[in-house]
Amino acid sequence: MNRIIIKTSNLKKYYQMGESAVKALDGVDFEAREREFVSIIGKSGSGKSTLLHLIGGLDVPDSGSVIVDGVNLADMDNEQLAIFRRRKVGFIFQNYNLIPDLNIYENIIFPTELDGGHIDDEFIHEIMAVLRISAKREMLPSQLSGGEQQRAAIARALAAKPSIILADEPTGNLDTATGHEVMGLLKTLSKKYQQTMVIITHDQDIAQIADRIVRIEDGRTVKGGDSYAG
Amino acid sequence: MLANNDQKVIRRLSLRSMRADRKRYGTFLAAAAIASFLLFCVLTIGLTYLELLKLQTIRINGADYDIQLINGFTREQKEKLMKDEHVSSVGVFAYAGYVEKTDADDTVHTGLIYYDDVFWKEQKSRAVDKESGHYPQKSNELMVTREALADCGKGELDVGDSFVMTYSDRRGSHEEEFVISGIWEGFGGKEVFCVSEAFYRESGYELSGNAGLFVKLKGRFVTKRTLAMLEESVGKTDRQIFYVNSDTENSAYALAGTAGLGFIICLSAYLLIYNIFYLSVAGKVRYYGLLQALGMTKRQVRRLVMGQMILIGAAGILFGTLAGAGVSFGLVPYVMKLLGIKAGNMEIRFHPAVLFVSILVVGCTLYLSVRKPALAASCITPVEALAYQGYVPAERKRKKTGRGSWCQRMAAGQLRKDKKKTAVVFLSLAASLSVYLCLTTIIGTQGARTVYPNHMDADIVIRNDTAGLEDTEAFRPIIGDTFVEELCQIEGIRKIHILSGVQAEIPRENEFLSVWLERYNALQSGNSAIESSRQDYRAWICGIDEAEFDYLNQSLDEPVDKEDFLSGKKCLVYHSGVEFSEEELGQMTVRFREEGTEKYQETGVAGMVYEGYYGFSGGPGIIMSGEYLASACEETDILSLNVMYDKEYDEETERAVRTLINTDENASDFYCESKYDNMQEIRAAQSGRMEVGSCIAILLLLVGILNYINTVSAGIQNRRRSLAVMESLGMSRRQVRELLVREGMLYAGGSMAVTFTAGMLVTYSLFQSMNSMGAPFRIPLAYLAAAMVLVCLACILIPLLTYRYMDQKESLAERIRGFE
Ligand SMILES: Nc1ncnc2c1ncn2[C@@H]1O[C@H](COP(=O)(O)OP(=O)(O)O)[C@@H](O)[C@H]1O
Ligand SMILES: [Mg+2]
Repeated sequence: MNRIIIKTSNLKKYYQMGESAVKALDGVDFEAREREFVSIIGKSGSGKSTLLHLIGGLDVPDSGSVIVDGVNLADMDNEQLAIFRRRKVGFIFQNYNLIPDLNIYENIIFPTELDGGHIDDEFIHEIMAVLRISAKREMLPSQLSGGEQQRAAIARALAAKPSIILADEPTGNLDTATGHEVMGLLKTLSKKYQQTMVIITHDQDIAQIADRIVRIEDGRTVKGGDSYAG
Repeated sequence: MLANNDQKVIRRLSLRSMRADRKRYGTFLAAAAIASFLLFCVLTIGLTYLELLKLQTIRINGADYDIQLINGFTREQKEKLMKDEHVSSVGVFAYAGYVEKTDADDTVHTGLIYYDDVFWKEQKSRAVDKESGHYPQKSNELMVTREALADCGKGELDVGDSFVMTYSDRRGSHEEEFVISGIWEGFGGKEVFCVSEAFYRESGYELSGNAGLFVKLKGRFVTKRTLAMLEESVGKTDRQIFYVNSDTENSAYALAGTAGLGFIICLSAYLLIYNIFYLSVAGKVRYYGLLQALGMTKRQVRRLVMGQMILIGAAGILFGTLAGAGVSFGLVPYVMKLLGIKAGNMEIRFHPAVLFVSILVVGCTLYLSVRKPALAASCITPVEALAYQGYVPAERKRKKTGRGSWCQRMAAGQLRKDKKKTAVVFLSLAASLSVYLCLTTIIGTQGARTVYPNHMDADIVIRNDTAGLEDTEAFRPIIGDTFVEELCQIEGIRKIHILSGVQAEIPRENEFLSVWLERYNALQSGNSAIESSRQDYRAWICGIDEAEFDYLNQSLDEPVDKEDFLSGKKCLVYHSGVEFSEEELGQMTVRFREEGTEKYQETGVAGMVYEGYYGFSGGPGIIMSGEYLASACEETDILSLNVMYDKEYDEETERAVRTLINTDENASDFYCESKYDNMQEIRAAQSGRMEVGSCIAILLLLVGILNYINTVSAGIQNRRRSLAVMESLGMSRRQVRELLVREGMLYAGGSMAVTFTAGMLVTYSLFQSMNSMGAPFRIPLAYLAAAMVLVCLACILIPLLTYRYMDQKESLAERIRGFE
């Protein structure tokens, strides 16, 4: 077995809504190993996105810890978290979140550029070719279809060669056929580039592609919910 | 009824959405309120400023009039003027003689002037601060000033007291007892006693000779054409002078300038409102699309939007105007008092027109800025609205990537992205910076404009007053070498130019003198002609030092040879109204001999000088080299001293000089003109004008900055999404800040560039159009620098603060979620 790269323990995140508190996460223990493809499933509102955000360092937990690649995120300041995100993590969102002012190519190299790093053009071309968006490199996001935009977002997540890809319902806005295609690409690429992939989905079919499925209910991981697919 | 129902549902929806989206609608309200507030303040204070300007002119002129017709007038001319449709009042002044002496002082400068009722009651009253007693009725009554009384050595007298004075009129010299019927304080010539009509009748002078008319026009602004027509209609003779106040003459330009400023102020207010409203309504297009998808008609959407805006606009105008009134009538006078600024006659008054204009402008702006997005909102199809991605770009050429840093590209891209918004912010920043530049320039230069310089810009001119007397026998040499020495010892005195003089006789047959006399007498109306019976003409020959000659020489069209002047071969003549042509100047010579000696000398007339400083004894003022006179003549006296201080307006030096003069035994025979006094007088006349003007300038600068604050902070709020996405991709806060700073700097730089080009041009032309005094164009650098720093700070800090506020309030995850 590969070593554990993501580990959360007893993670809690409560939101105060007037009088009552919403327990978005209520003691979640989650782990993922290197090069593993994990999918998280659960009902809407069960806390999936919250968990992903905490793993990616977009938010801080009320209690509990997130350890990624041996480092506790709570020990990092904002600057370090930003650097962590652009080097270690690639995000893929349901609504693509491409930057509308930049063209596709610029969007893809954006995280690398932020880092002032060297742009591996050969690699970018390769993933753009694999994702079949090479022809669109000069276009703006608004000129692309949903599937194309999501493929561009995937390219962006991969471009900085992060060790972890976090995807929040990447196929949610796509039709079933395109969704399956995007999912297949994700799996192929993550294997090819040896990345850890955590994907949220509510589509059982899609979840089946994963190495392992984690189920979340009411802010808790369901015991015995881990199932090993494939 | 259906119509009724739909009104109810729209009203409910309207109120609900306003309650739910309090922040957005609060901003609307604030924008409308701020715009009406600023407009109200700027206009109210602006009108006060204009009134102060008018008051200042009145004070400097000594009365409220536009035109003077001097050197006599006929009854027909007066009637013609009174009947003219442009004329509001015609006042009369007439020369009635002068005071020769009193038992307390025999060098008196007081003239006797008769004013008619119209002038005294209507035109003079605005320059009079205090008046006790009444205008003379009987022939032995006088209306006086304290200054004139003091000059007569009667400073201690009051209304009702009487004194004896010797005066001279056309009939000769008389000694009589006069009663002081009134005393006035205020602005304008102080060295006069006003006399009654009865006195004037007896004096022997005629209105067609030494008298004039003061004409006040209707309204504040007249065109040059009207003035020319008026001058034509009077049909003046060669002797008469039709003199239009320079402010009146340029009033048409001033009107244009004022209107221009008013327009820019309204434009600023317009931009402020348009900015917020347009952007906000446009941002809610998706929401309105949804409403239509649910079955609302376009008309209903429009009504919904307009209804909300009318409600908010009305409330905003109400709050803004109330706050404006509070600040204008309460805070500004209070702060001015607190700062110890003497308000003088300044009083901020309520102008109903201002209220009307602010409501009109804000109302129209609200309508215009809401109408378009409301229309757009209602025209968008539901499908479009729901798929609305904010910004759909047209095909455009992209620059090759990789050029410039990502930060630069994105900052510039952000400004390019919404050209309209960027343009609005640029415009409003540039407009208010330009108006600020304009106002500070105009106020700054016009503030200093009215300090009339002394000869050679001396700090104080000290004259021997006995030299000015018609009777040269009465001269006493009161300024002696010891006095000059003592003066030199005073600390803070840099230089003294001595004007020396030799009493001389010029023979009648001298060609220069006879030509001069002939022309001089032709200019006079008869009663002050110099009789030609006396044998020789007695006059002062003035002597100046080398530095003073250099100063005079550089002002001449044809400079005089310095060697010739210093050796006494050539002299200069003071222009006492008599003109000589160039050729005459080259050919004529003055023959004279020092009084009491026999030897005649000759000197060639080489040039004409116009400085009133040299014209004190009435005759042809002849100016020669002082050194030459000292060597060639037996007795030279000091006529006048031109004193320069180390520091202009230095109070201590001024006081020391005054003490020296006042303790002299001949104190009453000295006559001083001091720059310091002039400045004090002008300060009093300006009372508060500068401060009020600066208030407006600063308020306007605030309009621009407010406008920027609100667009940029709204813009950043709207960009929460893209900023959050970038951060999720690993952009650090420092990098976000860098991006925001860069954008801010682009705004600041851009608006300054516009200000320095277009704004400067507008300022310059406005300045010239209002520049009736010919003041040099000077930019108040300190003010400008302060404003630039302020703008830069605002441009950089506002985005950073907004970002910080946003960042503190919501976590990154929340910001990203907001759009899911
Ligand atoms: N910023 C927030 N404020 C209040 N409640 C929130 C916030 N974010 C998430 N929640 C609540 O937390 C719970 C979990 O949300 P989320 O993680 O988005 O669920 P999922 O992604 O599984 O649909 C939900 O009930 C949601 O309403
Ligand atoms: Mg979710």
